[in-house]
Amino acid sequence: MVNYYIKLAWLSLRKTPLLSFLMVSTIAIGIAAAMVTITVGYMMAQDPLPHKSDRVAMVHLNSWDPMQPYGYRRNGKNDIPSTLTYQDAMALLHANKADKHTLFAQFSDMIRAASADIRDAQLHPVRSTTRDFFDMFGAPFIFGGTWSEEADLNGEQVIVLSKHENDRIFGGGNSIGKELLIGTLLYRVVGVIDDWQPTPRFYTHRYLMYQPTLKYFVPLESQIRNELFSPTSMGWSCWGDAPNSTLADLLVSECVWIHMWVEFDSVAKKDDYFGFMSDYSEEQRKIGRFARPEPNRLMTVPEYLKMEGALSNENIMGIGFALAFLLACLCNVMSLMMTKFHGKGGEIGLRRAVGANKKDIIIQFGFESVFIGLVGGIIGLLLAQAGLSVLAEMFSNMHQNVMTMDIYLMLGTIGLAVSTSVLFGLWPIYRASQIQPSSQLNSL
Amino acid sequence: MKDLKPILKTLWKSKTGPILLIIQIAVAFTILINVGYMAVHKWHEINKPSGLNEERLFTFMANLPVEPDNYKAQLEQDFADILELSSVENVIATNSIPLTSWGLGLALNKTESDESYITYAGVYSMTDGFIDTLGLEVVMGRKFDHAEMLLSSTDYTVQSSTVMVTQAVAKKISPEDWTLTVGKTIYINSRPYQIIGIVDELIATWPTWWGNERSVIYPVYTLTSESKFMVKAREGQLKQAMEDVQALLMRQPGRIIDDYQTFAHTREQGYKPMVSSLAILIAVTIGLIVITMLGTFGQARFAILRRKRQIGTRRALGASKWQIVRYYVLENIVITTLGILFGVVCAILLNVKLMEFFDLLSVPSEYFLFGALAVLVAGQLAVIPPALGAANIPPASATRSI
Repeated sequence: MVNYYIKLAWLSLRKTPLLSFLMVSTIAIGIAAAMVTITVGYMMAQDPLPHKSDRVAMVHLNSWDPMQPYGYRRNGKNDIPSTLTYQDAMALLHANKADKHTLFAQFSDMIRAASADIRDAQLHPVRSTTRDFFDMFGAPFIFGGTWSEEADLNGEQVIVLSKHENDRIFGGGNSIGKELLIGTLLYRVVGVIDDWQPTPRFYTHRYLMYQPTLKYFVPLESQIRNELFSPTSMGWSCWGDAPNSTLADLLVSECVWIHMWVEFDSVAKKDDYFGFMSDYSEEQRKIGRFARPEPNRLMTVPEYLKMEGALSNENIMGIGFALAFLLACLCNVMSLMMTKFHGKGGEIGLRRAVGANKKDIIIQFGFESVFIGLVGGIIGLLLAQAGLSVLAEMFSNMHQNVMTMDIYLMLGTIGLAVSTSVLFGLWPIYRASQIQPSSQLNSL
Repeated sequence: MKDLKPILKTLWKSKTGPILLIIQIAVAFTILINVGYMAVHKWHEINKPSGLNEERLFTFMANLPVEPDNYKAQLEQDFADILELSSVENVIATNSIPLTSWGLGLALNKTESDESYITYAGVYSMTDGFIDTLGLEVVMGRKFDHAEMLLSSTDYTVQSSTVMVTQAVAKKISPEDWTLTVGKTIYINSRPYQIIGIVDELIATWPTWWGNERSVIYPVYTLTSESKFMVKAREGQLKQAMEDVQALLMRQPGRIIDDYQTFAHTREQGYKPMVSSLAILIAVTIGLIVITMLGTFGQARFAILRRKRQIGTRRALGASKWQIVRYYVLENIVITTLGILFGVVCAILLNVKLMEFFDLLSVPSEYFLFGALAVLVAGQLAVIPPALGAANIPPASATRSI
């Protein structure tokens, strides 16, 4: 029976090729437009740490200038810095109140294999961080692992690099123990991480969230001991007359530049940690720091993403526009279906006259609209892929992940096409089923 | 006009098709108005003048490969070497390069207290010769003296007490008459600065910031290990100058150079995301209009198909071809107008929502006027082919059955 209805639907579409083409292509275009924007929005709004995003939190302390609120006002309200001063970051790290701590900053320098010629050196940004970075943020190792606690404490010159760089410099082999030169400093490879791109790259500022991860990681302490400092490529903010032209100056200043994240074994510990942060700022207040009224913040990954607006208003607007576009397309398809079924009045009358009841007519045309939706969905899926690759070309500053459909989105595309096509087919089908056998017979 | 009554009656009798079309037109109109406005807004942002003589500038970041105590001597030496090149006209160092999205922004206040907030502005500190190098125009007041333009060492012992501002900032400070701004004192980070001159334009470093025509310039450049350079080439020698400067700097061991590019490239890169979203906005609008025109076309064809006999009858009873065409043209105008009326309501609602989100102003009324005209014209274009088809239905068809 199903085969019979599919055959009928196919024959019916074949009979009016122009109308069928218009219906299918209208659905396909509408679905493609909707799915391109939905894909970007959906991928941008994903939970980057699905198993523990509520146990990983970012520490914001209000160490800022008592005279002036921090930076640009957020929604007209005073903001606080999202990075910490060196002294605060170290104090919180050494207090060791959370289960895991990650501090990070960055610098840039010329990097090459120790054996390579100086002309092969390339300028790269380097993530300076602590050993828990990889585990906390889910970076997978293919060789070796993170550095030791001693390396963090003593600023050992050890380095973790990305698969991409390991392929380029060491030909992709196990490079543990090999050596790289950062500027003139010798660093020993302890680990290689696989291609890794959390989407969004939640642990940093909003405007960097869709950019590729860095390719080199070294202990923060080694940056500090070696005074590696890139004032024009790292993010940092100062107030007052902070002397800050060298890293040594920066360390003792009130400038903020270190990101801090903590992880807890259980969600319950988060409140305790916030209490600890409050105690810390209270202590600091006694010695004349932390004089601003705005409270500290301890934000889990979803809270931080929400505050930073990872999914921007522009994306939401884009989805809205695309859905409106889809609605216009579907209205169009609906009136095309009305035309189509109206033209088949005679056939319906005949079928009814030889014994088909209303249900049969509804099923017959139901199959037809499912069929149209299915074909439209498949073509729409292909169009959406094309649209996404154009988009990836246009927004080359964003990571590809944001513009790639996963399997759910692909199935969703087909599902959306079929369900909307059926939904908007309901009325025309109902109207068609109301045609009386007698009304058509006399004009045949 | 006597067609109007039968048109309304017919539309009322079979509502579905026209209602679908009205929804389509309303949606298309809503989006057309708002997207059109945003697109024009974006277009202005993208084409905002930078105030720089862009075609002769190139920029780069380079380190000063010496100990901090020697930064000043090294930078001065670099300037001297670069200026000796015959392809280069002038060179400066700056804390931030326009349109690269990396720089300092600070709040300007009327008094020491941050309650007297005036505006937020991009902050440049540049070395001597920036007016000539960048091609800025001083429209009021004076430029910095040579004696004012200092290189500050690492510890902020040198402080400036004067600033220059752009005309846009001046208008914020003295909204009634910006020319009065020269000589006034503003507070940045609770420190007073006297405004000594106004340049017409100098764009801040963030392409996406809508207020990026607001910049202030400090005369004191703070030395750091990495300097950002902006070089003005001699007329027509940009390429040569870029080669010369790079070769010159790379002679010194330990030198790192990065982001070596023409300013034209910087601008293109900076605005690329905005240009892309503008392209998308335009594509969405065109797509919508095309779909709506298709809908109009289809609806008219459908209506005519159904009324073939009626049209034949009218023709047989003496209606001219023109009268038939007029009927469908008028019908389309009625439907489109209804769609536009709904569209206006939706467009205003959407605009209110968008204003909350994007700091946009309300859409000016002429957008509604032109939008309505555009939609009417598009509707007419779509309806004329089927209407002409209807006019060609022979009167004899009235005598046949469908």
